Amino acid sequence: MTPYLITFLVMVGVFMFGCFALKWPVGVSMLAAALCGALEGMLAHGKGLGETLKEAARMMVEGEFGYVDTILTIACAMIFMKVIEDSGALDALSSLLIEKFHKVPAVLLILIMFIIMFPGMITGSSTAAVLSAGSIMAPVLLLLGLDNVTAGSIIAMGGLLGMIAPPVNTAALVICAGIDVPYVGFTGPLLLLTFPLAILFVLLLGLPKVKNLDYEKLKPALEKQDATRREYGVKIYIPFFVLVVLMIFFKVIAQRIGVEDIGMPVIFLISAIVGFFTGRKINPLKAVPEAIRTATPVMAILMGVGMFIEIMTATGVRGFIVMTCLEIPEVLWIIACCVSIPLFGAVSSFGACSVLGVPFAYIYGTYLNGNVVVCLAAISLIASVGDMMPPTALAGLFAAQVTNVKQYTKILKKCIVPILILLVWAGFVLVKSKAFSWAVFG
Amino acid sequence: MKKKGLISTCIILAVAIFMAVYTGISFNKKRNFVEDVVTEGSAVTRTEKLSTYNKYLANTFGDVDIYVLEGEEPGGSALILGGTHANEPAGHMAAVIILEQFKPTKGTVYVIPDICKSGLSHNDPLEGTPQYLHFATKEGNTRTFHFGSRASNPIDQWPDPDTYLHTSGDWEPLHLAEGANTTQTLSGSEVRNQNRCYPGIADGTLTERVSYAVTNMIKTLKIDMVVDLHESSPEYAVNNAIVAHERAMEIAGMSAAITLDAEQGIKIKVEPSPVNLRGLTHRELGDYTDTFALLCEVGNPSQGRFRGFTDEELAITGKDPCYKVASEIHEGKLLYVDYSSGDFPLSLRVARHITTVAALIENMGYDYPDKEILIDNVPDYQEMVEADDIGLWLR
Amino acid sequence: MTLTTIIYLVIAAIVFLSVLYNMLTKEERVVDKIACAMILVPLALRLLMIK
Repeated sequence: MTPYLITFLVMVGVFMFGCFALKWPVGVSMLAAALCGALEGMLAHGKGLGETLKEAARMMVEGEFGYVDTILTIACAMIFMKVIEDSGALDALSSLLIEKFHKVPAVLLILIMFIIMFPGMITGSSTAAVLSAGSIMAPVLLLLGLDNVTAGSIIAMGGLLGMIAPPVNTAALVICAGIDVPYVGFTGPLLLLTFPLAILFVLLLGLPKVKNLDYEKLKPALEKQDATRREYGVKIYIPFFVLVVLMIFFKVIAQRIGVEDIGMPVIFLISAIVGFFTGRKINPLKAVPEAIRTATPVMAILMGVGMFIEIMTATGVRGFIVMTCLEIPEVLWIIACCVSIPLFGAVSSFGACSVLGVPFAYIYGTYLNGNVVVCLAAISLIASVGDMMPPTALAGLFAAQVTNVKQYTKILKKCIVPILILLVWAGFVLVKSKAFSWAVFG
Repeated sequence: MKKKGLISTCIILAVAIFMAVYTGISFNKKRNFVEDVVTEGSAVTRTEKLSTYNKYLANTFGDVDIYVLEGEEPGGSALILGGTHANEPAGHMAAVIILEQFKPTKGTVYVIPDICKSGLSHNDPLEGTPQYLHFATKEGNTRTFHFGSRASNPIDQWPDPDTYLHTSGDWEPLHLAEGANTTQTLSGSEVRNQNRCYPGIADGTLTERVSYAVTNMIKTLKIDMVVDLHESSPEYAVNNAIVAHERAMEIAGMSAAITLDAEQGIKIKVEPSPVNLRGLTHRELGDYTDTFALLCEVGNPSQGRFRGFTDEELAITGKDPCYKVASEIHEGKLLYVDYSSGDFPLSLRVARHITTVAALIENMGYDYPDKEILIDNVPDYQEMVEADDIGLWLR
Repeated sequence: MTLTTIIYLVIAAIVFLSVLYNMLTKEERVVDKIACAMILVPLALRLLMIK
C-alpha cells in the first residue's frame, strides 16, 4: 500500500500548500490537489500520460456531480437569507422574540436552540439548519448580548445536532444503505443522543452571558428593529411561516399522501419570493447575484471536495485510509472511529459515513454484536462532527457567515469542548449499544 | 474590466468550456453506447420489449429487450435479471453469457441482461470507476460492455427527494408475512435504486416503471422462478449467497447443499429474505406474485469500501492489495469471502452465478415436475474458473 | 420530463447565470474566477441533460 501512501501525501501536501502558503480558496486548493493526485497516482500505477489525462479530466468533472444537488440548496438558501435580511423580516423577528421571552433567558435560549435545530431535523442537513433558522436566530442571539463567536458556536452546534436529530438523519440513512439495514427504530436512540446535548450546549455557551439580561438597557439597541415591526406589522413574518409550513408539509406529510416532495431549493425560493412582497422593497436582479456571490466560495468547496473524493477513490487513497484505521488493534477501534470519521468529515461528513461509517457499523453492529440501530445512530452523531472540521467545516463556515465572524476558526475553537463532550457521549453509546436497546422502538 | 483581468477571464472560461465539451462528449458517448448482444448461434427464439408489460415505459430510456429462449417442449419458466446494479459486472456478464450459451430443450428461459439500462449509462460520482469493460472473444474480436452505476441516471429522474418512501403502489400482496410492513423510508438516492423499487408503480419514476413492468411480466406470463444476479463488497455479510423468499427456501437450500456444495464443491450460503427490507426482488416479487424469488450475491472487490486503485483491471481480476491486507488482519474476520489467494476474478464470480442459476432451475424441476426446465450447453464451472477469461464464452 | 425537473433546471439556470455574471463583472482575483468556473462546468452539463 506504499504507492497509496505516496499519493495521499501528494494530495494532502498540495492541498495544504495551496491553502496555507499560496492562500488559495479551499475549493481551488482541492482542485489542485485532486489534479496532482490523479497524475501521480495513475502514472505511478503504470497508466500512460494520454490515458491519465483523459481519465483525470473525466473523473474530476464526474466527482463534482456528487454535490450538484447540494449547491442548488445552498444557493437558494442564500437567496432566502438575503431576502429576509434586506426586507427587514430578521429585524422584526429578533425584536419580537426578545420582547416576549426576556424574563426567562434559559427558556429563551433552549427555544432558540430547538428553532435552529428544526430545519436540520426535517431535512437531515446541517447546512439547511444554519442557513435558514440559524440566520434567523443570529440577530436574536446577538441582541441578547452574546458576542458573535458565541452566537455562531450555538448556531453551528445546533446545526450539527439538528442534522442528527429525528425524524430525518441523512448520515444514518447513508450508513443504512451501505449495510442494508432499514431506517426503522431510530427515533428513540437519536432523541437520546441529541436533545440532552442540545440543551447542555446552549446553556453552557449562552447562559453565562444572558442570565442577567436587562431588557430596559437593551431596548435602545432594538429601536430600528422595533420600528420595522411597527411599520410592516404581522405580514413581515409571512416568509418564516411559509418556510416552516412548506418544510413540515413536504418533509413530513407529503409523501404519505402521495404528493411529490418539491425539495429544499424550491421551498427556500418560494419563501424568498414571498419575502419580496412583505417588507422593504428589494431589487431581485441585484439581490440574487449578490446572494450567489456570497455562496460561491462554499459551492466551490463542495465542487473541490467532489473532485478530491473521486480521485482519492480512483487512486486507492480511500482504501488506504480505511485499511489504516482498521489495522489498529481492536481495543483502539473506538479511538479510531471517533478520530478518523470526523477527520475524514473534513472532506465530507456524508463521505465519511459512506467510507468509514459503514465499516465501523459492520464492526460494532455485526462483528462485535452490538445493537445495530443504536450503533448506526451513534456513528452518525460522530460523523456530524465532520461538518465542523477544517478546511471545509460547512456548519462552522456558514455559522460564521450568518454571525459576521471573519475567521470561522474562532467558532471552531469555541466549540472544542462541546465537540469533545459529543464524541465522548457518542463513543460511550456506541461501545455500550446493547445497554441502550430499550430506546429502539417503532 | 482591466485588460489583465479580461485576459485571465477569457483563458479560464476557455478552459472551462473545453472541459465541459470534452467531458460532455465522454458522458454522452457512454449514455448512448449500445452493447452488442450476439444472438446468432444462440438459442434465443425471439425478443420483445419490456414496455409490453407497462405502457408507461414505452419510448423511454428504460425500455429494454427481453430475450426469450424457448425449448421445443413446454415446461416451466424462469426469468434471469442482470445489470440491476450496473456497478456489479458479474451480474450483467453472467446474464449475457446465459442468453448467448444456454440452450433450453424444455421450458422457457427469459433473460434481461440490462434491466437497469439507465444505471448502465453512467457512473456513480465519487466512486472513481471505469466506464467500460473489454473482453477478447475466442475469435479475437473485442467486445465492449458497460461498467455503470448502482442507481439510475439522474438525467432520467431528477431531483432525488430527501427521503424516499417506498410503497407497493396499486399491487395487492399474495404472500405477505404476518406483521410485515409494506412501506419503508429510505435515503433519497435509493429512489434510483432498481432493487428498492419493486413491485413498482406503473406511472412512477423511470426506475419504478421498470420494476412495475418486471412484476407485471412475471404475473402475466406466470413465470415460475426469477433470479436476480448481484455482487456485493467482500466486507458485506450477505456474500457468496442465495437470498431466498420463504417460498423459495427449499429450492435454494437443496441447490446450495447438494447440487453446488456436495456435487461441485462450491460453498454458498442460503439467507432468508428479511421480511421488513422492502423494495427488493427477493422480497417483493415473492410477496406480490407466485414466482419463486431468489437473488444471488458474490463478492466483488471493485465495489468495496476497502479497495485500492480502481480501474478495469480491478473489476476483471479482483486483485487488490488493500483487500489482501484486510484478509490478513483480525484473523480475516473483516471479510466474508475467501481472499487468501489475493484475488477474486470476474471469471470465478460469473461462473458461480451461472452454475447457481442452473442449479436453482434444476432443483425447481425436481420439486415441481410441472415446472421442469431442461437446459443444454451450460458452461462448465471448473472450465470457466481455470480459463479465467469470460471472453471465451462470449460469441 | 416532470414539472419538478423543469423547475430545478430553471433554478440551475439562475445559479449558472448568476455565477457567470459574477465571474465576468465582480470577481477580480484569478483564483476566485477559477472557483466560479468549477461551479459552471457541472451546471452546464446538467442544464444540457448530458450528465
